[in-house]
Amino acid sequence: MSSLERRNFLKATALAAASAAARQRAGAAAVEAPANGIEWNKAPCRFCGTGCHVKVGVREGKVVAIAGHPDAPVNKGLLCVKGYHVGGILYGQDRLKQPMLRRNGVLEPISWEDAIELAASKIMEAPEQFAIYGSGQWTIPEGYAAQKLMRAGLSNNHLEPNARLCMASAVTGFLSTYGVDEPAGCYDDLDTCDVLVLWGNNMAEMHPVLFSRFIDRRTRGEKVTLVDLGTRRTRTTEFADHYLEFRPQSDLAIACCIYQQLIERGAWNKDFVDKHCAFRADADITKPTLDGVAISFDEFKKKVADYTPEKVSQISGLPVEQLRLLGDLFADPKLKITSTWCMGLNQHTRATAINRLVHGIHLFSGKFGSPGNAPTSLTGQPSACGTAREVGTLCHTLPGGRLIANPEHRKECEEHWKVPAGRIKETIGYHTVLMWEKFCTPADKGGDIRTILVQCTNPGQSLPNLKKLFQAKQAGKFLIVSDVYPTATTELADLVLPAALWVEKNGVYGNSERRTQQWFKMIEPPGEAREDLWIILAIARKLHDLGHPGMKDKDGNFLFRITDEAGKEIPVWDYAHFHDINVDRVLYEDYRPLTHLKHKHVAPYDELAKHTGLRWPVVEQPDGSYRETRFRFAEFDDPFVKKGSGIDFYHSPTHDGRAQIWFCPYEKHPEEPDQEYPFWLCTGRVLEHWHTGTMTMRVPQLRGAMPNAYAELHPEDAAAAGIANGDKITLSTRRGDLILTAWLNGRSRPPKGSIFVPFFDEKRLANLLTLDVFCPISKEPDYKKCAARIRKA
Amino acid sequence: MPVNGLMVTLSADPGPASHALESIAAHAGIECGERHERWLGVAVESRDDQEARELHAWLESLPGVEQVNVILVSLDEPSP
Repeated sequence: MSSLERRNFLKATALAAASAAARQRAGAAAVEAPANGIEWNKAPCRFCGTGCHVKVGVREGKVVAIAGHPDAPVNKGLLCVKGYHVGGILYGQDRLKQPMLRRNGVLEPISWEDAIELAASKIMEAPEQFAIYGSGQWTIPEGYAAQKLMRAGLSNNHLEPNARLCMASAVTGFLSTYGVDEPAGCYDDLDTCDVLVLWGNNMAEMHPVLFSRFIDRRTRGEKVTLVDLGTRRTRTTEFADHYLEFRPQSDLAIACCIYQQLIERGAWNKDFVDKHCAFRADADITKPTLDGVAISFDEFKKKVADYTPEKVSQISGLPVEQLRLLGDLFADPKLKITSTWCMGLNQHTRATAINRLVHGIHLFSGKFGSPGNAPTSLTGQPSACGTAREVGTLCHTLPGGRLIANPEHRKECEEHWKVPAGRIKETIGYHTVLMWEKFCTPADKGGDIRTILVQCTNPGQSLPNLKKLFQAKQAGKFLIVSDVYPTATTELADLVLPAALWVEKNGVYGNSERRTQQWFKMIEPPGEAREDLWIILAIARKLHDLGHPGMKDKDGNFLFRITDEAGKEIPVWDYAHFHDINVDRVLYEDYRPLTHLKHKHVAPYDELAKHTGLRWPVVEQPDGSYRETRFRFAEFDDPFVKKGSGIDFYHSPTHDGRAQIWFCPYEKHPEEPDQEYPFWLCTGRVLEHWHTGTMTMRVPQLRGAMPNAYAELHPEDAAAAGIANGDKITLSTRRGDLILTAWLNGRSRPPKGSIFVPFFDEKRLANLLTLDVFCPISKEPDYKKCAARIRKA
Repeated sequence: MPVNGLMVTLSADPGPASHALESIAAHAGIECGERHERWLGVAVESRDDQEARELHAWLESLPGVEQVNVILVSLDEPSP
């Protein structure tokens, strides 16, 4: 086909797709756009946790067009700037295409056979000192395979996803409040709430399609109120009815102030609280735990009494009127309120506490359990919920909400995986910060992690305090990295494995609203790149062949034995046979029954193949169809709620159907600005780039729109330091220095005394500066707050 | 040469919406689809990304246009 013909085809396709979207927006039935020689298939977007579905247009083995999926309930045909460029991530010029081994400091090509052999032999040297560091970008089958290899094969719990760095605190917030992880509400709440409260959540840039979904209601003439609680102005603020700019860390006090006002006004929902809730606090605030202790309402009332608007105004910097506004909103029984949050609450040294408090405010005010009334955490990765939380790839978890510390849970998994009793080690593994600290510590000084396999993530850029936790990699330690592009992590890797990306493989993801989404492989990966799932299976088989006893089940079969319909084993570890069967489907269906214990019933694979995602629990109906659940714990929608109960927290931490309303006090941050380091430093993302930019920086349109990291400064702070817009500055913390370009005000107009730096730029590693102090319960570090100073470079 | 499919949301006010529609239809780089109430699908062909961005910005700046959403993006000459 000539270039002109191709362009004409694309133009006709573009017009047809846009017209179909316009027709659908006007309420008319959708009309399928003509194919024009392009084969279209569905996939969730590769980027954030929103879970937008895209249509991927393929011709002659190449992705040639991307369109928002018009039938997708999440995005209704729309995409954000990253989403509609998602196809471009496949075609960066520097894709990794062959395995490479570092010899004398230089990465040199080796064969796949040698690469797998080497990886397995390194693991065999000390299986208990091996760790896998995966990702919320792992597909569910990839995470499940890694889980099984580690727990059931190697009796090793040093398995972590990078999701520890982004949503572990949301997990502990949900667990300690409801006894089970993940939101009760869903995105439908954005369509029906009267008020949306964003807790440190720049939704306009980080989850733009969800933000449009809410803001579009204004375009349609609906009255909706947006409250933006933040420590800096963002694009979100431009749309807010109320912008409440508070001092970093004081969100804890603000939340307690809402409790205080509801009590003072007698405006809490007594009926809801009496029927469905109990009160809880830490026994010793210096030693917080996941469980805490029960307290009475009178004790709760006494604890929150100090958090008057006047006192909290002094702590937070918010005017009393703004604090009273929050009290007014939550006290109004007629208003439906949805709260959302993301990294602002999760990356926090008291992250579990502030998560609990936001849940608590919703429960205490009764703004829970009906459409539009929900506290909902948003995730940053496409399968942080699906692969990290549901599959259970954290160092202390097992599939389906099970815990390593629970003997019954270990037994259930051992039986399911057909391995001997006691195979799963009873002590939890190292969480992310500890895992990398051990890797960066000499073996003779307690550094007992010797080999790490990294998949689908870039810890060389995303870990906090990089000098300590990554760049201090010790001699004698072995780093294996499978990825699609060279990254800050492959810079130190000993063995680099080229990975297939997104629609170059089959996949299943789970988004922020419990929606499981499936896609099929559409194109071949470039060069010798191969699926991460195959890499895990191939390593497992090599360990089997090297004689590791854990690679056999009780019957003596290979741990990942996969058979055809006739019962004959398929050697899926041999890449020539990996595609003889849909291994994704086999592993997903093996995993699916494990989701039932905590009523997280995910849909069958073949059902997912028909849809743009289904929200669990998904339950089979008498007619054989499957029904998803929008609102958990509410009788009108959740099939597991006891009839007649209205609301039923059926996994209550206290086993009595009650959710817990926590009191957690305000505490100062461990590294507040001082004379030496007088500024707050906050790091984060920008609209154009996703996380460490390894994919979006390969898309010319996105790289061109935002090519470099920068430091946003308040003009008065800059003037005081003799810094003009565009000057090079040295930004320093107690952990390191970074030279950046000053951008006065920038996009976020940081308040006086604060600085914002995005972390997408691998040439300017923001995480050389950040703090590795973490929430004592979730173990998630605080990337949003540390003390810094500036000078003109 | 980038080819994009955009959905234009026109103003509820018929006057400005009609003017916007005329301007869009007269633009050489834009092909219009059928209008559905306030929504119009268009295909935009441009020389490069810079011009694509400028066209997008021009559409958004028209009085009578409330919003422009990207519906389809072609990947220009994907390399192997």
